[in-house]
Amino acid sequence: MLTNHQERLTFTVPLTLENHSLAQAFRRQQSDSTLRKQVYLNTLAVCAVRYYLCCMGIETNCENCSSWNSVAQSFMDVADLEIPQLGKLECRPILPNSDIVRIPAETWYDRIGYIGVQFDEALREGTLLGFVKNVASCELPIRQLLSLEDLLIHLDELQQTALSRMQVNLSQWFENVFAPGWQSLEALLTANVSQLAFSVRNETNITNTVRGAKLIDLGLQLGQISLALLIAITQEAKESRCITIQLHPMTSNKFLPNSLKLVLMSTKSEIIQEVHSRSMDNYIQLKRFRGKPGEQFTICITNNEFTLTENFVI
Amino acid sequence: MDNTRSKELDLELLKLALLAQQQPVKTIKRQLVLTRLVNEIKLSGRLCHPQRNQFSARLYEEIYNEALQELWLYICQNIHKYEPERASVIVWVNVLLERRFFREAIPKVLGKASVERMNLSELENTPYLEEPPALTEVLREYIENDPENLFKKEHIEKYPSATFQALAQRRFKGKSWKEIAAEFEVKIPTASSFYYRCIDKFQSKIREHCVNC
Repeated sequence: MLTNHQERLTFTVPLTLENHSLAQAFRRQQSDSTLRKQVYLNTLAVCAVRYYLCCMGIETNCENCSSWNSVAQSFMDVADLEIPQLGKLECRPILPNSDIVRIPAETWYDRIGYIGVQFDEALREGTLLGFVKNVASCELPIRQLLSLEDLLIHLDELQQTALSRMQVNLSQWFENVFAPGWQSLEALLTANVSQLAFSVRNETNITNTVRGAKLIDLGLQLGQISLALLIAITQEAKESRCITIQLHPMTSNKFLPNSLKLVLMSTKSEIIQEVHSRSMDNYIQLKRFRGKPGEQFTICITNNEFTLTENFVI
Repeated sequence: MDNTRSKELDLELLKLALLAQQQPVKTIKRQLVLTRLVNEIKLSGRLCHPQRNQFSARLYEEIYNEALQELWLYICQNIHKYEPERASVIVWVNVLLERRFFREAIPKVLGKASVERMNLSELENTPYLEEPPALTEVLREYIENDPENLFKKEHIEKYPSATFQALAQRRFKGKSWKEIAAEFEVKIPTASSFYYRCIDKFQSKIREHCVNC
């Protein structure tokens, strides 16, 4: 039975001469005809997935993978692709008109998921049909594959887990404990007194408020521009905190770069609020919001070329 | 394509492009919308085929594929550059394909004329011609001879006959994990995880041998 590709979300990757040339180089290392074919197709499958993830802005690395290593290829039917910090995806080639994905037992370990890549006869295209997280048999019917949407969700969840290990705990600021990269606003002001392009209003009644800052250097991305992300957290009641977030230019820049976005998101990547810089903005600020200790949120600083993400727990 | 369907498609693509523009880079919603957008453009059948008669069919496909790979990547990375007031999505995409990526692909493909692209039936039927001993032989011989008694010593716990050497030789012969597991009376994961760990353990040793050969 053939699955209906039109109904599920797939992605078709055009396979270039460069991809084939790589597959050919790995193939030539082997003499067994089955192995030669296997290595060729495995390489193309990895190329297709690598390309798709690149389109999605997801970094990959082949250097430490068995799929990029002729010795390992001689022993195992592997097509692994590493996503740094998250783990390895297995990219399984599927022949045209086949309705199963073969998942050899040597690939059942150290994988964060399995993607099926179906080829055409001419090997001009590889279509990413879908994915599964875990396997327990050597063959899987294509119709049991989850969609690419599930793959993206899975990778996002893994990313969130990896990031949550680097979460900034705001309540600790009241005890003067700052995560690496962060410091109290007072410390920042003392250290950079001549460089600061902004001043902070001297508010009364700030004993229940603590302010922290992080310097963000966007040297390469934004033409040598440094920014400061400022957060003030105020303890209003036992279970309520009020949070203010601002983005300021640093050093000699009086204004923020144009069309910079400061975005507040839930941990599920839903946008809660956002603010854009216009020309001649000294700073931008999100609307003050409230939260309870233990609640999490994410701040993104983004323009069209990059996104910088920081995760927080109140 | 009739006019109504074409208009519907334009509207759908516009919706997706605008949606993608609203989401921050690298967020899951943007990734999802971009996947859909590329998919819809591809399936629309409205991508142009510039300079069709100027190359042989084989060469043309090669150039077109190269151009498409660059095109999809550009769209995904630069969707913010699409200006809805200037053109429909498909017009924007076709201009990029025709005036930029197809042109850029021509010298790239002509420069790789020596690369031999294989299709499935060629992969299955091409006889083995290359002269120097391929890695496969060197490696199989090394496992077989096992000069340091490494590979026949390492075995699955409590199964002295299920050595790494025995397993590797059977995998080389194309035996399935099911057959191997049955032969040694172990479970598939027991055999394959042992094998996986052995390769990890011996890999640098084996590679060293192959390089010195």
